[in-house]
Amino acid sequence: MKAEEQSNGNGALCVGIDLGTSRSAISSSNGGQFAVDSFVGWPADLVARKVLKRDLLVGRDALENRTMLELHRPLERGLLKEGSDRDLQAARELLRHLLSLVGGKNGKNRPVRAVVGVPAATMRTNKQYLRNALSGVVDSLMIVSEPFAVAYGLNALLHTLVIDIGAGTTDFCVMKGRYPTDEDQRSLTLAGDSIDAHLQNAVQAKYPKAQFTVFMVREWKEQHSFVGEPPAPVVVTAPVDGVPTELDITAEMRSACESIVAPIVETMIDLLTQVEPEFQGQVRNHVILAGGGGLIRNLGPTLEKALDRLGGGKVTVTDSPMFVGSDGGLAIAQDAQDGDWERLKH
Amino acid sequence: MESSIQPNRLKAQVIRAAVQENADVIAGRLPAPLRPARRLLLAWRRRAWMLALPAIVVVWASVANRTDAVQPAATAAIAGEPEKPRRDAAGRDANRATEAAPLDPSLLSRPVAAGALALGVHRVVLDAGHGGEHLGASSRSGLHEKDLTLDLAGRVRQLLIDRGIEVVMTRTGDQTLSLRQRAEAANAGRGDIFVSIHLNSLQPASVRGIETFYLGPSGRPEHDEVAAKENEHSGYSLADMRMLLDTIYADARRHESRRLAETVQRALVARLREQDAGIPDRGVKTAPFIVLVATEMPAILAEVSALSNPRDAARLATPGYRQTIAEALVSGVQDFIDHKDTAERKHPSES
Repeated sequence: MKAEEQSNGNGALCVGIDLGTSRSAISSSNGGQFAVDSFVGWPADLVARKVLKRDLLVGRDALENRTMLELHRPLERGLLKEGSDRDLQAARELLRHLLSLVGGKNGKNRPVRAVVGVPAATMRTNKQYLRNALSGVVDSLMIVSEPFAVAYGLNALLHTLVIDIGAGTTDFCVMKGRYPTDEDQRSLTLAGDSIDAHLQNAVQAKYPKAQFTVFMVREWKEQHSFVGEPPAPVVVTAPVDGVPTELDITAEMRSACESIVAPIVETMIDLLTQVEPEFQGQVRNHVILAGGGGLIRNLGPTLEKALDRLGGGKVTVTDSPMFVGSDGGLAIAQDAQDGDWERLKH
Repeated sequence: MESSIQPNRLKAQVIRAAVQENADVIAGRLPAPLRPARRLLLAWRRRAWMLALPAIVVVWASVANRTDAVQPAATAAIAGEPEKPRRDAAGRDANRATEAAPLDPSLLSRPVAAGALALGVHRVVLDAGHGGEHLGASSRSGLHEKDLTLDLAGRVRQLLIDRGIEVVMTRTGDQTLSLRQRAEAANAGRGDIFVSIHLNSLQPASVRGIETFYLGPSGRPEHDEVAAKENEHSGYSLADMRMLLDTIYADARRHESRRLAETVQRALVARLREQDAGIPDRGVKTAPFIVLVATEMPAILAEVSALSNPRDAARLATPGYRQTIAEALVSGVQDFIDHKDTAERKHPSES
């Protein structure tokens, strides 16, 4: 955590939030930095409420007690699910929880200025919906594309391609020294969740009697994901006919992780070839891989290999994939002027 | 790469732009590059040479001829319409704009990322064509397009709500709305897709069938004719049309609009042929309808039957047939949402 809070107009608390389909992160101007699983649950009945002794559970807490909960994952493909009041309520509770972790809105009547990252291809209607959903939770809100927040936080606003692999979407953004336009950005819905689905199906096909959930699959992926040659056999444990059994899922893990490589390469190259010719080399040598997908072993070198056919390039995996987006959002929040925030009040 | 001063200036610039984009969303404004004044300026700068007088004269003359050619049909279609002069002017403008704004083929063939727009449909804007003073097409038996489209929109609305989809109606009664007002209502309603319901008026009266339009250059007189009829009372000038079309023809939502048009057309043909096996499939087409230009979401205009055809008109008089049309429209929307449209069709206007 940072040692001291940076000053900001009116004593406001600035936060950057990466509202993720699977996991959300917050970075705050008072030095807070937290990540929570994007799950919210309410006790399913009176018995559950008595056992849990709480009316609301958020994050890992909710996941671990999910059998007793009406569990909600309020985001889908990086966006708030629309049409369900309960999902909307879950989104607000998730935000409130994140803010409470950094001391925002805990009775201290201190204005909160939030920058929230969303997928690059988010439509204006979705942004408006998010803004309405967060009304009353934060005082002023700025919504930016997630890869732009990453680029801002890394001071990479010029001749850079950011690839942000989250759970719901993989977002691309070419930074050309300006605020990115629609042409500079892309979103693919092939990301962490699609790897999970692929892996779940493949393991189920190989071990039909094995019992496991998507939550177990996600944990396996987070521990063992890789592309290319396996660094080591991937062996996990799951019950088969009730007996804990070791399952070798090396080939399935590789296949699942590699399922997103071709679309990412294709989109990356497509965006690169649309950069002005004299700058293409600089952008190729400044590709940043962020988000949870950046932790897939050997993905960076694999993308570099794909760049060879364009003359070579360099892919850098960010040091802190989990917080690089929220840190970028925080940097934007702190750099924005008081007058800017006035315009963005709820 | 950057000097010690540049990064701060750059950061200030991008934050200003981010704040402006957010302020636009809050105010419900179009993004700056799509606003008429900015668009006009940019387009003028980019294409000043295209606006040279000789070119305009040539195009003007050629389109004027075309408009004259379609005039009788338009007049026949909207017999009894009290504002014929205004209609004529608007229709002519629309046709001129179509001809005067040649497209860069590379824009039309630019691929759209598959995931870019697959972000969910939760709210549908339904536009019941015509209304109030604008009767639309009329049958010999005295049915008016404005009444039937309102009835159909109401049925579609209920079916969509039953499926948990929110609905915004551009009109819920016999109101006179300009096309600009319809588009503004749709944009303010923040719908995910826009479906404009119309009934065709075709000549000769023996011609009938179903056709669905999305925005694009038609290049075919018969489509211009339909667009001219539907664009009357738009109030858009030739310059407005040119700028709008320049921007929108290359818009990513055009791909989604085509997809929506295909699923709706397919569902309409399939369902209506269950009751009338011979009803012609006139296909998915492109034309420059104002409501499709000015709406910000994927948008289509469905001509669900021909009111000018006595056989279709007789069927349209029965609630059961109108309910079938409504169900077909909803089925098409649902197929669009479910991505049940893997079979891509090739359209003459895009080949």
